[in-house]
Amino acid sequence: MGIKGKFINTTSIILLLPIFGIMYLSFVSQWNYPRLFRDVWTGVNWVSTLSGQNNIMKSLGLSLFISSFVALTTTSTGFVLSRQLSQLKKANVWLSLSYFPYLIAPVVLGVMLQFYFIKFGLNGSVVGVLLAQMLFITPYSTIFFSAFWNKTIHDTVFQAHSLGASGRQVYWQIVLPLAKPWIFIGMFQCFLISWFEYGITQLIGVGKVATLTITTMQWVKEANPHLAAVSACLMVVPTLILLLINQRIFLKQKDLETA
Amino acid sequence: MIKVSNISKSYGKEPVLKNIGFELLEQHTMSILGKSGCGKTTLLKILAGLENSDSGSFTIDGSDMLHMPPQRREVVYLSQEPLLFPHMTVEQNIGYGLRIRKISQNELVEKVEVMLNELGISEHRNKMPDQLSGGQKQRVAFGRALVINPKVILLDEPFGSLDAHTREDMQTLFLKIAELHHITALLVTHDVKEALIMGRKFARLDAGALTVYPDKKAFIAAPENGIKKEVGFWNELMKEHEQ
Repeated sequence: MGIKGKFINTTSIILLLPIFGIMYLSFVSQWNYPRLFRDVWTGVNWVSTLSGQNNIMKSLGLSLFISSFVALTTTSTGFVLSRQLSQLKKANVWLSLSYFPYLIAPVVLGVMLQFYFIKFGLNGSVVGVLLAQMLFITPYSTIFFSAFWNKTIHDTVFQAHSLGASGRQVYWQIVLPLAKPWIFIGMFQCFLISWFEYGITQLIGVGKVATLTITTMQWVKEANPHLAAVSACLMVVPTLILLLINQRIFLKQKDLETA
Repeated sequence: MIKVSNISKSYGKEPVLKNIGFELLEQHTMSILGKSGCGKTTLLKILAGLENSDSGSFTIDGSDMLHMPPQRREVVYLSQEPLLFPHMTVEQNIGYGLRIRKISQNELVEKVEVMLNELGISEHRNKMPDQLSGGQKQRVAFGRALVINPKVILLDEPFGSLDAHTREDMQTLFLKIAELHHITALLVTHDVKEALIMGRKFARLDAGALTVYPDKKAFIAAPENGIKKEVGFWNELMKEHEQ
């Protein structure tokens, strides 16, 4: 194995160490600080979780629903919005407004939104959390896709119109195939932002909307590192799956390019 | 017949085109000579429907074009960049305009085949655009435009990014194909030699104002085009060389 291979392997192990840590904690019981390892191996944490004896699986389902919904809506909204913005004369000025939610902390944004959510009865509801996350993630998606709408894309779109293509034909036959890798990455990133979102979800959901992140934090607060570890393991799974899918898409694209 | 009358365009307070007007017969090519920034690309973009004019009219055989969406004008704009669709093969690129017109598959295959042969790119039919050279890309762009038999082709310095040799090849190829397909074209260029080779009618765009010359002789004689000066330079050089 060359130096490059050794470096990649070492880096991978370092990056995976925290995951090994939580996996270890999920399979042992009665771990107490300051002992580093405890040898009482048990599957009880996983059995109780998978059999629905705690709220982790319910939270997993809720998180999958919220993050998938938010990823789909914010990706499509950001894609369309970024196109509209790119056609404006002062596109950069309008785009800079999209940075506003990220200039302040998510919790502060949540506090700012909370008044209106209470007023409209959205506090403590899944709809409220969905809406709040969408408000937070859509600007990111818009910023992300604004890089796609460059001059070449606009010129290519016009070229297709000039050849006689209708707006719908241009969108389906030219724009979407060109944007496919962008849409995959954009959706992946929006999903992850929503998946790990804590501050706004906690504030708007007022603890009633128990996403997996909220539940994990609850187990941490209750000083139950084993169920917190099970919950954390489940949090990592979709990320790893999405990373693998993304990697396969990239490899496929690379193969096509080099073919 | 193509008729353009009084087309004007300003960006803010700065006028870019001032009362542009000309007529062009079918199957003719008009060369418009102009320096960078004189408004020639803006004129073509207005005719293609990419930009709106402030005033004026543009008709083809009496039909108003300015109020028609670009996809219905049958006026194809070709720029310096070939702008091929990167996710389609050469064959698919050339057949794109026919596919969206939903013509039969047999007719499509036949027309694309003819075009590939005329352009001399049959062996590249299954290649993707990023596997082609600059000249080959431009040939595909021409093929994609010509195969749908448009009313007018607008050429915006289409050979500007090619090397001198490929540029000459493409000029010759265009002349051959334009004659074969009875093409009506409007070419804008800053290259006087290219204007002379490609055009049958000649004009000059300077600071947004268009001068249309009655014939080739008048275009050559006009001092602002610098042709006589150029010829004089080469004659002088030849004389020096011979001595």
